[in-house]
Amino acid sequence: MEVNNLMNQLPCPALITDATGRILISNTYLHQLVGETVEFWYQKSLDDLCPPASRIFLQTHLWPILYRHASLQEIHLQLYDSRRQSVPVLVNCQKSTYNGQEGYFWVFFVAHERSRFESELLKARREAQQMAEDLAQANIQLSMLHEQLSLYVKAIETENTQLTVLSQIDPLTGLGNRRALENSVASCQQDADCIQGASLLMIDVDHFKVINDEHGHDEGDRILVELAHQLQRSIHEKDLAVRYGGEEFVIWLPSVGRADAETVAHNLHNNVRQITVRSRLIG
Amino acid sequence: MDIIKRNNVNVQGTEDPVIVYAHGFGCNQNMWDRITPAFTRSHRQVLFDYVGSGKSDASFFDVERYSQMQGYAQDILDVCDALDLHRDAIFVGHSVSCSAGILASILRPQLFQCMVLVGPSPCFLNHPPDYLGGFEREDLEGLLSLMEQNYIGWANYLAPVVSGQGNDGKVSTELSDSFCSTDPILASVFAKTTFFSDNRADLPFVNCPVLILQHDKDALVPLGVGDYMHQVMKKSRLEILDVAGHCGHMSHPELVIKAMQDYFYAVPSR
Repeated sequence: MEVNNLMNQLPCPALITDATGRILISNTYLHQLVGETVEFWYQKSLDDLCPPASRIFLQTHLWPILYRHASLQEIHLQLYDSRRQSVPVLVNCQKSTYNGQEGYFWVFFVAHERSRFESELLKARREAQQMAEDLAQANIQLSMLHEQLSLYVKAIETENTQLTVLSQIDPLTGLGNRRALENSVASCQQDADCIQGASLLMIDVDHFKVINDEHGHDEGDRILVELAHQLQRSIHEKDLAVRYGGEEFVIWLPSVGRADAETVAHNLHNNVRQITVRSRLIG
Repeated sequence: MDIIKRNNVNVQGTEDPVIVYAHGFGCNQNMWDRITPAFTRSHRQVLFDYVGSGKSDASFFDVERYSQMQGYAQDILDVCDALDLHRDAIFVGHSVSCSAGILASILRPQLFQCMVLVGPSPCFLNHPPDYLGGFEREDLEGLLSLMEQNYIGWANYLAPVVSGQGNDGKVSTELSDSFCSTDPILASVFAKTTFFSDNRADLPFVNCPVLILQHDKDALVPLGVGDYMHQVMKKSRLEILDVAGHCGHMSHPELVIKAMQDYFYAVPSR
C-alpha cells in the first residue's frame, strides 16, 4: 500500500515491470492516460500498452539497451490511451530493485506538442535535404552547361583567330595584305625602338598590264606569285612583305635603318631579276 | 576488401567446432555477450556486425544489396570465407538473422552442420488466412518514423545521457556505436528488409538440422510462427523457451545456453 501511495504521488504516469516487461505496479497518472486500474494491469505486459510500431521498437532497441546499460532516457514511444488511440510519449527507464527482485522503473511524459514540433522539424529537415539534393543536381547540370559553353567559346575563339589571319592574307600570293601592313605599322608605332629605325620599300611592277594583255591573266598571276616568292625570300622573318594593291607591293622593315634597307632593296632587285616571262628574263 | 574489418569480425577461442553468431535488427554482436562465455572452452566463436550495424565499415553499405535478405546472407558467407570456414560450422542467429542464415545454408549446404535460431520469423507480416506474422504494413511504417524520431535524439543527446557519466567517452562511444553510428538511412534499410521480407518459401530447402528456440510470449513473433517453421523444415526441433520478449539470449541467457548445449550434445548428424 505504501508503494502504491508513493507511486501515486509521482507527478507523471509511471510503472514498474520485471525484466521481461510484466507490469508489477502502475500509478493513477498512468491509469488516467491508458485507462483501467492497477489490478487490471498487474501482470499484463508493457507490450499491451504499446501500438505495434512501439512494440517492435521496444523489443528490438529498448530492451537490448536496458539489458546492456540498465537505463535509457528521452526515448520517443507511443502508448495506447483508454480509447486505443496512440499517444506520443517520452520514456525514461531505470533498472533497480523492487520487492527484492530486479525491477525496471518506467516514467512517461506525454509529448503531444513536442512530438508535433519534432515531426515538423524532421519534415523540415527532409525538405532541406531534398532541396540540397536538388541544388546539387542543378549545380551538376550547370557545371556541365558551363563546360559546354567554355568549349563553344574556345571553338569560336579559334575560328576567330583563323578568320583574323585569313583576313590579313592576300589569297593569290599568300603575302600579307594592306590590313596586315596597317596592323604591323600600328603595333610598331606602340614600340619606341621600332619606330626610330623602321623602313618601308614600295615596289610597283612596271608595265604589268602589258604582261596581262600579251600573255594572259594566268601568266600575269603566275608572275605575281613568283614575285611574291622572291620578295619573301629577300627579307627576314620579322619583316613583312605585303601585296598593297594589284601590282603594288610593300616591304615593311621594322627596326631597319636606311643603310640596311638599301641592302635589302639591292638583294630584292637581284632576286626579282631572275623572274622570267615566257622563259625570258624580265630584268 | 578486408572483410574482417568491414564486418568488425571477432574470433574467440581456438577449439573447433566453430559457432558463427549473427545479430538481429537494432543491435550488434554485443547482444551475444551473455551467451559466448559458456562456450569459450568448447568452441571457436565468431562474432560480426552486418555492414551498416555496430562497428562495421558503413562505407561499404550498398542500399541495393542490403535491401534484400540475400545481402545479409552474403555478409555471413563473406565472413565465413574470410576465416576459411567451409563446412560444419554451427550457425546461431537471432530474429531476422535466422532468415539470412537460412539463405546462407541453402547457398552453401555444407557450411553449417546445424543451426540454432533464436526467435526466428520468416515473415513478420500477416498473410491471412494461412500465415500470421503478427504485423501489418502500416505498423512498420510507424516503426520507421519512430526510429527516425529517436535517431535525432541519439545523435545528439541520448548517448551521453544514457551512460549516465556525462563526458565519459568510452561508455558513450560504445552505445552510440551500437545504435546511432548506424545512420538512420542505413537502419531504415535494414528495418525494411527485416520486416518486409518473406522467406517462407526458402524454409523447405534447408538441409541441416535446425533448433528453433521460440519465446513463449514474444511481442514480435506469434507462437504459430514457430509451429509453421517446424512443420516446413524437415530436420527441425522446436523448443519453446519460458521467456516473455524477443531477446531470450539477453534476458534469459541461461535458458538459451542450456538449450544450445543440450542440442549440441544430441544433434543428429545430417
